[in-house]
Amino acid sequence: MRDTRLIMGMPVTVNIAETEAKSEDLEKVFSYFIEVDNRFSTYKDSSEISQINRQEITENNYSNEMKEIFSLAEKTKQQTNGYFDIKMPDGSLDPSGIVKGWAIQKAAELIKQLGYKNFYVDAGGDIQSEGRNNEGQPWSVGIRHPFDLKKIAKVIYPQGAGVATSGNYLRGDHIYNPNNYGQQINEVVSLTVIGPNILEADRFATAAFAMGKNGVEFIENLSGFESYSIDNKGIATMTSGFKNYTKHA
Amino acid sequence: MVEKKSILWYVLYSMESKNLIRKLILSFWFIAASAGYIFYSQLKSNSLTAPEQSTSLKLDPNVISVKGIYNDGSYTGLRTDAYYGMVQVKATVKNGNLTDVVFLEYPSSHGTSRYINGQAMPILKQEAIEAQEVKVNIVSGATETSIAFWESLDSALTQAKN
Repeated sequence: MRDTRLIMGMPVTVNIAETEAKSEDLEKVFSYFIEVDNRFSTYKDSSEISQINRQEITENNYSNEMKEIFSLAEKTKQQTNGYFDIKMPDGSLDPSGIVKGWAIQKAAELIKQLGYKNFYVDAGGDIQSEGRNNEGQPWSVGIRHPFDLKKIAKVIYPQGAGVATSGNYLRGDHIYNPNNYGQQINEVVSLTVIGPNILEADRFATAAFAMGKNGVEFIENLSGFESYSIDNKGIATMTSGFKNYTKHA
Repeated sequence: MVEKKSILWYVLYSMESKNLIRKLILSFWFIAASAGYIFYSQLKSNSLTAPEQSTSLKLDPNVISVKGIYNDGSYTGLRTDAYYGMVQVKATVKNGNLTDVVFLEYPSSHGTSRYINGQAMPILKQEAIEAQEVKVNIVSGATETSIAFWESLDSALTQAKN
């Protein structure tokens, strides 16, 4: 059973590939994403993050979810030498670069708690898949061609790993070079990170993309992660273990 | 040789101390000779094997004494263009002596290895991407589709206005 809703400004698809899948369970997952959006959206004046940015809430009154996100953001910032930073040039906080992966991860855990083993959650191209598809085959993921949006540049079989792709297809206000704020990140047009789960893949994909051509090498140095980086000339660079994901078991 | 001078400059540039240059040029002849040898042998080599030498030039403090001139610590030089690639070194001063220079980045013009942060890095595989018309379960890409959706919806609603 599958459905797609527009939440957090992006298409969110939940597909539970089991005949016993119940529509009320799908609803629970979408409700969760709406709750995340209401808390973390910088486009909503009433969200907790907007209130924090207006200094209307003090730190000891942050929700547990907000504290968890800030803590993850700080850890990621240190691990990426500042290339991931939720603090914007104007001083406001925008955690969207980490909330997406975190929310997908939590949604996947919710689906597992509901008793399902074969599903995927896709929010704006960041994916956590588990088990197998309706045909009993491993889930296949196509990396979108950066210039011909109807085509696929590469097919991968994540087999339970999380897949996150960062690109310069606009929205991108959370992607910038902390060492040179004015610089447009355009050497690399699409960077896909495969990690142990979607939260891990997502938090490093944003930072690695901001590193431009060095991003894929940063991921090469990160144990347990692989990457496929496409530049503006259509040349892809991949980490040494990436090929393990291009064929299915 | 260009390579020998380059190493000197990388370390000195980050130290920012002009008077030292004269003294250090003499002291660093030893380091420069070792470093230059590594680069020279790599350029000359026809084989594709990685350099045997470590990226660290452990130094004899009795030969390289800069006592009282530099403070103890580790200092990273700028990434510098060595013509055939980028070089970046890190110098360690201990008890007032220069004890180590490590290559954080080291180019390889012919070989299969490079050094980043002192670790050997394989040259990563590259390919020209294909434009496949293939059926997959899920597509991973950036979120441009949402922008297109809103723009399309917006234009539709504009037409729908009375």
